[in-house]
Amino acid sequence: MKHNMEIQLDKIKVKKLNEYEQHELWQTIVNQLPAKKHQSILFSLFFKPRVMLGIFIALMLTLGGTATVQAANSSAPGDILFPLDRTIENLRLKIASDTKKEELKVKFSQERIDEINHIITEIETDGNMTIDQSVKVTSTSTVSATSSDFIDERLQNALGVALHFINQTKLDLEASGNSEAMTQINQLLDDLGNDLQNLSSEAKYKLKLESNDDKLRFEIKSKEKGEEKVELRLRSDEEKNRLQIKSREDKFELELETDDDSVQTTSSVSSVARGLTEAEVKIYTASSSMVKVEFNNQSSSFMLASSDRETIIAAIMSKYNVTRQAVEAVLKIEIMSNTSTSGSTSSTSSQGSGGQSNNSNDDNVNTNRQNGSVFIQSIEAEVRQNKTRVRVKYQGQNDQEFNLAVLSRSELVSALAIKYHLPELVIEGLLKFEVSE
Amino acid sequence: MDSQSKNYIAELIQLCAQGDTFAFRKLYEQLDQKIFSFLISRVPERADAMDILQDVFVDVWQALRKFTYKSDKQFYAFVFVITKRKVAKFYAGRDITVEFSEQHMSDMYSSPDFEIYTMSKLVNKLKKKYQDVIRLRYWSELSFAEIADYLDINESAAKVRHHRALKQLEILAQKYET
Repeated sequence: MKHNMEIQLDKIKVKKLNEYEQHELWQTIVNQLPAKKHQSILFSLFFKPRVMLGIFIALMLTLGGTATVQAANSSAPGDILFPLDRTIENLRLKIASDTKKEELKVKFSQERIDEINHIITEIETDGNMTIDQSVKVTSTSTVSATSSDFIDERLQNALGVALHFINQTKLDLEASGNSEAMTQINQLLDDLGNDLQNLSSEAKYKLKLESNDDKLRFEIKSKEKGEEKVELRLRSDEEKNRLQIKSREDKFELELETDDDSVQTTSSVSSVARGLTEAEVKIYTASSSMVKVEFNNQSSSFMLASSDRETIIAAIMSKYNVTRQAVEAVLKIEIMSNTSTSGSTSSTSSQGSGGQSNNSNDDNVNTNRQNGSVFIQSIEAEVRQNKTRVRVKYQGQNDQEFNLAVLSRSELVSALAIKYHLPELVIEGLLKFEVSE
Repeated sequence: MDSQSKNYIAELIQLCAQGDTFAFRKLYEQLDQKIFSFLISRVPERADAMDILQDVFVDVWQALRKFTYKSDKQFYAFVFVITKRKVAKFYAGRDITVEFSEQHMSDMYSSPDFEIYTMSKLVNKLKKKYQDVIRLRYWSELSFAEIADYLDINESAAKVRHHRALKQLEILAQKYET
C-alpha cells in the first residue's frame, strides 16, 4: 500500500526546462567553457588558455604594452584574445589613479563600441556568408539555427558585453559625479545608435539603441514577422545586472536592469508610447478587482475598489492615458468565484482544512457559484505555539476553520492566496492577524 | 540512461576531457532535467535554478579534464556533490528564504497546488540527508537505482532512507497540523 505521504508527494510535478530554456542554457554554458571550439588543435597543444594568459600578461608587464597588447587590444568578443583584452584593461584600471580611472573607462567604452563596429563591418562585407557560417558551426553541436539566423551571434555577444560595460561605467561615473565623462559616454551611445541604424538597410533586421538616464535599451526589429523568441540573460553576481533580450511577435527588446533602478525602468517606459497590448480584469468581490495591464511591453497590475465595467475602463484610461477604444480592444473581464475552489481544496486536502463539513452547504455553494456572488467576508488568523488557527467567514454561509503550519503573516497571506486562488492583496485586505503568547 | 551501452558515459567523459563540446552536450542532456528539478525544490526562483544549473555544468566541464572515471555511479555522485556545493554557495552569506507565492508556484510547478506548498515546507524541516532523498525522488522523479547513484549509496540503502524520510515527514505533518 502506498504511504499517505507518498500520495501527497506524488502530486509534485515540476515544470521542467522547456526546449527553449534548455537550448538557451546550453548556449550560455558553451559560451562560458574556457577552451573554445574554434581553437586549433596545434594551438591547444602548445597553449593551455591559462598558460597563454600568463605568458601574455608577463610579456605585457615586462615590455610595457607593445605588439602583444596591441594584438589583444584589437580583439573583439568571440576572439581568443578577447579575455586578455579585458584582463589588461582591468589591470590598467587597477593601477590607475581615480581621475585617470574615469578617463580610461570612457576610453574602454569607446573600444567596446569599436569592436561592435568591427563585427558589423564584417557582417556587412561578408553579407550572408557570415550568418551562414555561424549556422553551420552551431548546427554541428545540434544547436538550432534560429537565433543565429536572426542575428549574428558574435554581434549579439559583443553588444551584450558592450552594453553591460558601458552601463557599468555610466553608473560609476554618475556616482562620482564626473559630468564631462558622462557626456562623452552619452555621445558614444548616440554614435552606436546611429551605426546600428545604418546597418539596418542591409540586413534582415533593424537595430535600434536608445539610452535614457537610467537604462539602456537595445531593440532588434525583424522585418519578417513570426521570428522565434530569443532571450539572453546576463547576470553578474556582485552587481546583479540583468541583460535580457525579449521578443514579442515581430519585435525584439534588450533590456539592461540593475537592482537599484529596476523600479525606475518600469516607470520610465510609459513615456515611450507603444500602446496598450493587454488588459485583464479579474473581479473577486463586489468591491475588489485586480487589473493586469500590459503597456509598452511592461506588465503591471493594480487593485481597484470596484467591479463595475465602466469604472474599470475609466481607471485604465486615466492611468495610462489611452483612448477608450484602445482599452476596449484588449479588455478581458473574468469573474472569479473563490468559493468553488475553496470547497474542492478543503475536501481533498489532508492538512486538516475540514473543520466544518462542506456537505451541509453544498447546495448553497452551487447556486451561488453560478452567479459568482459568494465571497469570503473576512479571515481571522491567530498564531498559537507552532500553528496558526484560521477562521474563514463567508457571506451567508457557515464559517470554515483549519490549522496551518505557517507562522508569519506574509507567509500566511501567500498560503491563503494559493489556497483560494486570490491575489495576495485581496487576502491582505480580508485578513485579521493576531499573535497570542 | 539505462538503455545506453555500458561504457556510454565513460566514452562521453573521455571525449569531454579532450575538449569535445558535442559529447558534453550529450552529458548535459542526460542530466539537465534531473538536476534542474532538484534545484527547483531548493531555490526561490526559476531563474536561480537556471543560473545554478549553468554554473554546475561549467564546473563539471572544467573538472572533467582531471576526472578519472571509475563507474557511472561515481560520476553522478560527483555531479550531485557539485550541485549541492553550488546551492550552498548560493545561500552562503545571504539571507534568502524561499517565499511561497502564487507566482513562485506557477513558475516552478506544472500543477501549482496548495498541497505542494505545505509539503515543501515540511520537507525543508527534514534532516539534510532525508531532504536529498525526497527531493530526488519526488522533484527529480528518479528511480531508487538512480537515487543510489546520486547519493553514492547502494539501492537498498536508498530505499531504507526513503522510507525513513517518509516516516519523519509523517511525524512532522502530525506535529504541525490539526
